Amino acid sequence: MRIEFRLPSLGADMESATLTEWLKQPGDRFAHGEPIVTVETTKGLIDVEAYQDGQIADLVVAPGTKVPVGAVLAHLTVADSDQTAAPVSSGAGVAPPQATEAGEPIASAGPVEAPPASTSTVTATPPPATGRARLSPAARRRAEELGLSPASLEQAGPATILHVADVERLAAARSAAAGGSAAPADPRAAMRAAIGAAMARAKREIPHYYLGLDVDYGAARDWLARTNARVPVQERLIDAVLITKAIALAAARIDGFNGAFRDGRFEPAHAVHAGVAIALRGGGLVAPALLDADRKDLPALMRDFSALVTRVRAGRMRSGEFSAATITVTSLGAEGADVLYPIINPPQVAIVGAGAIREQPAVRDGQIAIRPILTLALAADHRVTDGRAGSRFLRAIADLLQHPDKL
Amino acid sequence: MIDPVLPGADSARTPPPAPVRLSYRDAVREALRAALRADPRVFLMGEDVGRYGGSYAVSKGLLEEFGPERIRDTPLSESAFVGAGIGAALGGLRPIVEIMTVNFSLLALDQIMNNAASYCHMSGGQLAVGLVIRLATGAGRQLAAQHSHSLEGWYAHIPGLRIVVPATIDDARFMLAAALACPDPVLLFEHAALYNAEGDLTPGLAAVDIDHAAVRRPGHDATVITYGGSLPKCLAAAASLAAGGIEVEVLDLRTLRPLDDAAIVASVRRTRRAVIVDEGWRSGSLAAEVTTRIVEQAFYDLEAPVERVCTAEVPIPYAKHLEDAALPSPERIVDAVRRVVGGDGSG
Amino acid sequence: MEPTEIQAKLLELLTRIAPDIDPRSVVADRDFRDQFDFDSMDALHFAVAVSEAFGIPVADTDYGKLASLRSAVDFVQGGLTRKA
Repeated sequence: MRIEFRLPSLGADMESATLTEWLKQPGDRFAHGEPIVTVETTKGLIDVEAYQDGQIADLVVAPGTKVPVGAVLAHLTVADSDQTAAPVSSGAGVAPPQATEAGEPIASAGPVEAPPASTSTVTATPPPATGRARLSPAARRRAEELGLSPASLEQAGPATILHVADVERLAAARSAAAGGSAAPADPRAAMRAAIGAAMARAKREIPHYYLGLDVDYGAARDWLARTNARVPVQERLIDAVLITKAIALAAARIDGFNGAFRDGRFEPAHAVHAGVAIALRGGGLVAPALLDADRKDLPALMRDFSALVTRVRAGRMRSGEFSAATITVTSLGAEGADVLYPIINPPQVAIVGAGAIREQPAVRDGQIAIRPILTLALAADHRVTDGRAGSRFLRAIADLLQHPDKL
Repeated sequence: MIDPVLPGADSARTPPPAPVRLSYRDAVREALRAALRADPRVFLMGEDVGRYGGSYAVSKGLLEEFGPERIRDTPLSESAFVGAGIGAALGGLRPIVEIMTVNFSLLALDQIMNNAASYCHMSGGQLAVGLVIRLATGAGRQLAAQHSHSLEGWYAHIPGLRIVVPATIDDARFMLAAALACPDPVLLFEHAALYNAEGDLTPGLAAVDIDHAAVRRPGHDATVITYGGSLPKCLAAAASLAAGGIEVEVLDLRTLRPLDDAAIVASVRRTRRAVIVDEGWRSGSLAAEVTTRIVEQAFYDLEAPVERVCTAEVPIPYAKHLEDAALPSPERIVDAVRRVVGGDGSG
Repeated sequence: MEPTEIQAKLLELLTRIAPDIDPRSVVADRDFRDQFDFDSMDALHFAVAVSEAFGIPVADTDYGKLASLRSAVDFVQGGLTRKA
């Protein structure tokens, strides 16, 4: 069966990408999870992975071409299967992330914002036959007024209806990102514009509520020091891994924080893929996902995290890592501020910000003691949960951090 | 200083006159009384309008006040007395013909369409049929299928007629005079469910036009377009939507032929979303006509498909719960507005 | 091993774990954290690279000694001396 291979959206802030290199040529075979093409986005180079086994039929887009999300990049020949949805963008088909035997996580290339399903079930919403987004008539005219071609907007994905406000937002993001039209714009400005557009949308559309909790980090710190003293430097852990694991476990246990808000309702995710915000030198940040963060032990999670940061630093990321996150963790590190009030990364419904771990007076057993304190701040979506559930979620994280040996 | 309204009064210290509260029925009766007083050519004619006082008690007391020459009971023959009204109009009088319900007007359809609506055109403008026909319309009073239908949309199809629908106390009071001033035959539809509605007459108001639609409630999230007996339902729906943060504009068409396209299009251009509420049946309805005009003239302003809330396509049932289920309701209007305003999962 | 050799090797390691750094821009006395927004993962990666490249142990408590180029040179020199 011949299918279209489309440029996936690798996050709410992505509008387009420039194709840099075909890693496979017509006739080449590829396996599920294997990179097929490299594209350059505001986040850097990303290898777009195949979401099933197959063979390249023909290439549609040449290297150096800038294409919008949803554009057909190539045609593939794949085995007929029950999953026929082409790997298009937002919310089209759903290909679940899967782990290979080696435990190396490989996520799907296709659907962005795809709710990670368990490996046994595949849910697919068939896109309309046209495979393009629909613009309201008013949005169509506004796009023309703003000099955007409706055809390029239609690539936003088949499940979407674009209204005037969406068109204006996209126009603002594009003009901010473009600077000049063909000339390569300042990549930092482009990324800043993309982050700005995504965060503006999050702030506009998601009714955030915020909760904070001071967590005594003493037990975690002491356990980490003991553990790290026993193992060679290659096997050491960092605070961020403990904190991410605790958040992932709490997200798996407390309903309403792990998943996506889409089409007017919350879709809980079956696995916890923790997006981790990684700051880029010189500005900007990306938030690729640590897959199955709740189920991996700390050494495995540390290996994944380490590999992820290495790829991000090298500007070489995998598409699956951007499509999969079901909740995000962001931390400022040792030199950061005490509290970080984060903004939810759509379509997710929660994000936890970790401030700097610092010594401060705390009451313990009726005495004032100097303790290492970690302030966790939760931003969550009021359409899904409220402060009571949010408090339970934060308390669960705090409790888990009191028993780091059980993480 | 002379105050033209209250001669001799000190206008600076006199509070504005208190609004007069009255029922829709009273307002129509006042309109009739005023018309009969103002012009000796005006007379009222129809079944039971005189001694019985009108089947909805609209003309109660008028026989005593104006006498049998001007308040005339007729035989049960719609074709005959509508035809007589046309003749009287051609002869220079200003007849007001009452038809008990729009269902019965079908017996006079030949007179209304082939004669009243056509004479001006067929005579090259020599014959003007200055006739006003008042008709009760609509359901909601358990009068069953032969007394409850809303056929004003049908009449709005016919060139040569003007179709007006007072939905408020002010319009009930003043539209009749404007209709009598119109040289063409005017059909004035009074929704039977409105007769008991009470409201304040706008102080100082002396006349209304029969050319323009009116915004009854301003809003920016969607336009609800309606007329007649559905207006109170739309206003109730708008109030309930406002509690949820959705502000709809309610546009009262007032005149169904000719339609006030400019008002419809202006409002839809502002709100970009439209719901049409029409007690007629959906197929081939006035709601269909309004929808088409929006699509023709404001297509590129739309953010969502136009929704219609109409009556179920059955003869109006007698049983209360079935009648209620068949008619537009505030709940159905709220649902339709919610569909056009949101619920598409965009963004 | 001469300090200049050690420094050259450290710069190579630095650019390997952080390819987005221009080695010519490194100021020897400044903390990597201030200069390059080093986070805890960068610091750990650098410690691993140093330990593997020079064959010396780096304790959990030694990361602070690798915080700048100059202090890292001193640390490696000390480690190599102890090893010898």
